[in-house]
Amino acid sequence: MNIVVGIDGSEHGSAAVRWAAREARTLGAPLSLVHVYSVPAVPSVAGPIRTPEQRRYADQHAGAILERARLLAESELEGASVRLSTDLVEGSAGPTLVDLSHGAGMLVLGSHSGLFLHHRLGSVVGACLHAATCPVVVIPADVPATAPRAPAQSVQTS
Amino acid sequence: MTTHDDARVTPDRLEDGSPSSLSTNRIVVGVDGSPGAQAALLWAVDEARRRDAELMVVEAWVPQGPMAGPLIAPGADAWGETIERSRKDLMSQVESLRDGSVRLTTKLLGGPPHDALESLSRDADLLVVGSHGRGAVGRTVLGSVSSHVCRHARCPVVVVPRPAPERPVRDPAT
Repeated sequence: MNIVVGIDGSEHGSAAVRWAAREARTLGAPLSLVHVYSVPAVPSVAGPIRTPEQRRYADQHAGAILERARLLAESELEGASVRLSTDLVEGSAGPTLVDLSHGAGMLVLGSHSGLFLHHRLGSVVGACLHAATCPVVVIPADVPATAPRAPAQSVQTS
Repeated sequence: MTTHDDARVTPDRLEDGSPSSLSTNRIVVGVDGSPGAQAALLWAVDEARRRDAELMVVEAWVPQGPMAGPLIAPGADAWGETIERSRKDLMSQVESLRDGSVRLTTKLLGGPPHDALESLSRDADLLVVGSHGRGAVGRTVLGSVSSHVCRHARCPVVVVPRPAPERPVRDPAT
């Protein structure tokens, strides 16, 4: 049962990596870090074009994001015998992650992946919740995954 | 607020009497008797076994129709009936899971399920919901409860997809 994490380079994405690494450690499951990126296109009379410079910059940027995530995951795993893999995919994040959900044990995402507004779900999260075929784990943005939790509070209902 | 804890399952655990620690080692799953909730419950049971965690199965009952308004007949214990029906519903869902392999508690709460689950997420390691509960008629992308808790829960939320037997089953080891 492998655990797939969608990396978006944000703080919320980091919380997702940390949570997934601990889960992989607990369950002894393979951990797969995936960063999906796109190369920005410039409009031209012949349609959108992508220059080699843009492509090189986007590739490097994406590679750096994934490498940071890998280092973070490794530090959380602390030498535990968990198979860790990374995957850099050029394309659209939602559909790519949905594809990867087939056969995955779980797909882990930061709650804001694909969006930067508070109290909204990111578009990538929305796409995955809609179409993923494995359980999707949404890591809240405003709570550090490692924080101690407050004592139980009485449930407010009316 | 009405709360019933299933004392038969965990007599040593009282309402809100759980120990506070770095990790609560508790998984909360919201159920409502729908197929989506059933899928979530089964996943949560497996996860609780894998983590050796306590599993709290939560059902929220909401007053329906005229029970909530002035049309309620004087003297009728409609709420009591609703609570009792919800309680039976909850018990029937967990009945087959009481094989001793997982520490299981049940909680019945009055009020909107998303409020109850959001509050319980403050003292849980994981909150599990189905992608669509009883309220969704298949039109929506995501059920209202799952959508709400994904945005507001204080712990990671697992949204378990609707059971779909027609989906191709692939080797999970790959």
